Amino acid sequence: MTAQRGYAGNGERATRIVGLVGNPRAESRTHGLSRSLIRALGRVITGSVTSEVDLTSLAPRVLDPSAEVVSAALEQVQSADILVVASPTYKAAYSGLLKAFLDRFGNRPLVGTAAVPVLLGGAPDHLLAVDVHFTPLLLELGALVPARGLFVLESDVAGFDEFAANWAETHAHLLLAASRAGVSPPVTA
Amino acid sequence: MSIPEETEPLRLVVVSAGTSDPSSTRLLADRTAERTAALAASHRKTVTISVIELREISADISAALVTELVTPKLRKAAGILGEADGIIAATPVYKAGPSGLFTSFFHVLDNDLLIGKPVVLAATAGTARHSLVADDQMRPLFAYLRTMTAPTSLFAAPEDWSDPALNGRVDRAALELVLLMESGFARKIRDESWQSYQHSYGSAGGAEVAIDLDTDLMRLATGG
Repeated sequence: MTAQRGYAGNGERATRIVGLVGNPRAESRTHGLSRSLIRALGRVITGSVTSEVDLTSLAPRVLDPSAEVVSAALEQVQSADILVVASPTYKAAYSGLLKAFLDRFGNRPLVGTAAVPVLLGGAPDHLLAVDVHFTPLLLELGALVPARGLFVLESDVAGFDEFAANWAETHAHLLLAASRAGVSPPVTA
Repeated sequence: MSIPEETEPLRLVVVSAGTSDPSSTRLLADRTAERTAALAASHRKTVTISVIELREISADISAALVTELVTPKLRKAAGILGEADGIIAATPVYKAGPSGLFTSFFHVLDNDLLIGKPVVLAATAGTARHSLVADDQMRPLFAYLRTMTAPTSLFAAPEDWSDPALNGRVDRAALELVLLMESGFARKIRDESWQSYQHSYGSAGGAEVAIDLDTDLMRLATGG
């Protein structure tokens, strides 16, 4: 058990920590790691609330623009101060399901949100995909991504909780600072 | 001297992820397909064109993602691609990348379905700032699929449609596609080197391993 540091949240209202899970399969390891991370962040950031959007349940409707339940999920994601976006590695990048969900947003919906991309892989080959493909997607959405993206091996599932606790300890202050900054990378042209 | 006649037409398949009808994505793909057919004709080759509109099979793609259920429509689309001699893959740009519908479709296809097949990549967007999406983001996906991707990628922002330079690039890509198709590259890879590529069980309907999955017994065993 590591000694926990506490980080003060936003004060006047609860810091909203949201996990977005882009794996189409239920109870995936992607979901497991996302849950570990939002719980760990929730423990170290005082006055925070955690919730998650699991695209498994929404998957059949993600490509249907009239489905209101997807709109509710988009609002939940957009409301996040800190957003953990987790995806399996599909054909060397994040999942198409996650992209199809995020495609439904309007322009730069995540301004004011600090995001962390998390990619799970079966083998270390695709380590760089998270920083080459995943982080730019979140930046395009207007989020700030203050830390290097996470690439985690599925086979490390037994260590997810410990990994998440350590990561949250060392990175929560970056995420909080970025979410408070309320600025985002400049758009050119 | 009589002109030798080509027996088999070249099978060109357009995959379009355009969401409207008509869409600029489909327009760019169609223009490229027409020029490919015209240039092939000047090489004494005929081309048949099939179109897979992903918009029409989005529910099938969703089902395959979640349940691994391959509906007849999706099976048909995969079958057409498996038989293709050349492919034009076209998507609108959303959030600085190919659309989720486009990537989801290629995610549910078998990894080795498209090995060695000639592909022209095409993307359309509302602004020139996404000009590199085809090369930065689509090309890596097709590298993963081990296609023979043409060196010229196509991109059209609204201002490109009235610029003759777009037609120049379309012609360039179309000729590359014709040359790659008529070389028989994909077929020769299959015939001479298929076993040297990484395959997973069931990933090419039996062609990935030296057993015949297309028997009643194997269909039963594989749940197909």
